[in-house]
Amino acid sequence: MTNLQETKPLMHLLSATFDSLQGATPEQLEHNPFLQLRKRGLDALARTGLPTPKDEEWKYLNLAPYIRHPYQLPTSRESLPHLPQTLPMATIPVVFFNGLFQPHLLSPARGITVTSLAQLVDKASHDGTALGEQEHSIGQLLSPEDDPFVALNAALLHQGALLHITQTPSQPIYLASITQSGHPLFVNLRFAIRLSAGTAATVILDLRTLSKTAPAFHNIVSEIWLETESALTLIFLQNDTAQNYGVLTTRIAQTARSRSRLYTITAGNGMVRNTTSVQLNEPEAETVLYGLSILRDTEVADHHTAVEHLAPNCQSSELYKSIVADQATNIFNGKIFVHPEAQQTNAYQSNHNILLSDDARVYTKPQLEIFADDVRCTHGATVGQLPQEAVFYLQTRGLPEPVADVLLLHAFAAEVYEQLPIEPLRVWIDQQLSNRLFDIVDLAADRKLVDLQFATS
Amino acid sequence: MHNEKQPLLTIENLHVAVDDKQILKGVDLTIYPGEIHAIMGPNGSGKSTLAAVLAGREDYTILQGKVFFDGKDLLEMSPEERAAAGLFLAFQYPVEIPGVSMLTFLRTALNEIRKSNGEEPIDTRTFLQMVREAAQLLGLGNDFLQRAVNVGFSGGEKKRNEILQMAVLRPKLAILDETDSGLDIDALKIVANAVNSLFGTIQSYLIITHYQRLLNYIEPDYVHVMYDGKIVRSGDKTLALELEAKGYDWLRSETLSSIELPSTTT
Repeated sequence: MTNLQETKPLMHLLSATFDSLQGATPEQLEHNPFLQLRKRGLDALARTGLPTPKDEEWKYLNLAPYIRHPYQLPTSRESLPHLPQTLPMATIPVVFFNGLFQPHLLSPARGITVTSLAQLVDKASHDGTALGEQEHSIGQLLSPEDDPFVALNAALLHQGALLHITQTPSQPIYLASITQSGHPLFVNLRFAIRLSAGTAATVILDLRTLSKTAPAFHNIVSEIWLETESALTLIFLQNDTAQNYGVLTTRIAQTARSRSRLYTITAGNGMVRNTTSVQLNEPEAETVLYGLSILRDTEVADHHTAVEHLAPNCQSSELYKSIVADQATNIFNGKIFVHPEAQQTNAYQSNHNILLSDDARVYTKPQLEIFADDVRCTHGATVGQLPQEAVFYLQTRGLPEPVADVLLLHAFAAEVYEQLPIEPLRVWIDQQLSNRLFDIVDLAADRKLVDLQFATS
Repeated sequence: MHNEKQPLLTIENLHVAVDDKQILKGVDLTIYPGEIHAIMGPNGSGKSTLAAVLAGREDYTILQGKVFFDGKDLLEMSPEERAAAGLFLAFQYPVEIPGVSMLTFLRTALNEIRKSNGEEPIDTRTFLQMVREAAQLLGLGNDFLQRAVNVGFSGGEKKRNEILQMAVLRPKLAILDETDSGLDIDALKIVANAVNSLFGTIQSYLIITHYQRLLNYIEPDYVHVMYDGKIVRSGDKTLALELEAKGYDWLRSETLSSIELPSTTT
């Protein structure tokens, strides 16, 4: 612990953790799993520190500009009076405002149990009450020793939520971190989500700011269990503003015949790192990962995915695309591991990128490690520009060049989210992204969505 | 016969190069409203270059010459301005546009052209009626309109799709660049029938072809023969038959004896 230097970025945030550990008795440490996790987090951080571009997994993402701000952990007890109308449909809101859980926004919904992690942590430190099975599951999928941001998340473990879906809910669950802060804010959240056998749920994980005054840095760790024949649609919305940063580490563990579909929409947040892994632990589990980055200015999106085939007859398919303008950067690293017992695996991966400026950057790296012999596995990656033949063809049909560009870019992008099952959300995403494309090709505002009616037919 | 009318297209002494290689070496052509012209010629004579230059492709350098379309300087206009002014090119090799449905494509094109001409966007019902009629004219079903532009289309479907677009956009002048190539006889008849039935709404055609067979179905008023970047001979439709009978070799020897060509060292 003594190796942690408070002068290094973000390390000043750990002083409260030090205090809580130093004030703890050996008995408390032994019986309180949350204290144990904090300690493991601190120890791991002391060993590795935060990643730098010298770390292979962080090679193209320099965090320095994003972590240098004098961040503070949440202090204000101010609550959010009502849910901002960001999304166009009714949801089950599990909302964190300036890093703190907002239980008053949540009304009881059938089939889902939401438990505040902070409440559990506080309770455990006061009376050491025995914890249930699900509370003990925190840290089971993602260990502090695996990843420095998981370590940091563990060291700061307090706010978060445990979601247990026991019946298919009628509405999507809106898991949102909303900030409105005059000073740089560090939001550390931990989620544990379990879908009981045979249930289906949609979870939207949104990073949103209500004001653009100071940067917000999110460090979010999510552990997700899919029991037999359950189905999860998980949607990451990262289309907020330039001062909204996020490192999101997610692991999904799947049992037999469960299905997961992930959509990661990155189009506005200044820096986002998604470290997403899926473990297909039992036969006939299936995962589909969709990712779309539409980036401009100096935005950076870094998508690291890992799919582990650990059982026979599982399927995974991955489609990540990016449109990168100005000085923006998109990074894709996609790992597929097919373990020896995972015969009859189907695994597909593709990553396609369009560069719109000389200064835009794309790094793409597929990594396949296959140890079974009866496997169908394909991957492909492309980096290119707008096809000029197609632009000319559209121009000869009367489309001005920027309109032709938008039409082609939109078609390229829409492939990623056109299967998204919630129609109002899909239309909303489409509008948000179309507006961004109009901005990128510098098309006058009065043309937006008036002449181009993508939603027709 | 057409003294009282303004020409729709006037090409004067057009010289064009691509990558320092001169392709067009002085083309003159005038098309009046109500006329069908055909340009024939062997491969590499410059026919498709002429079509591409008229449509506004950028890879070409205009060395010399002028082109006026409907009284305006065509070479000063962007491709989309040319389309809005009423010029249409049916591509020899239509381009695939993945992810863009035919309906979205046609509607966007039509509305952009209408907007340029100060008209309101078309209402959905009229639009749908229009494209369905056009599809029917080309022997294409309504499901064709749901497909992505040219993606997975057969060669014949791609060519018919070009004429479908022409039927929807209703230009003043349509240039058909080797639209007959790759069409079987039934599809050729369908295309020819569509071209003929739209004549009138579409004021003039410029039909570029290697073979005479399309001209059995679309009767041109004038046939021009292009050779080595120039129109070396013009006549009525009988010229096409003469070419068909004698082949382009005949033209080569005729041309060499009657036309001044740059001397070659062979």
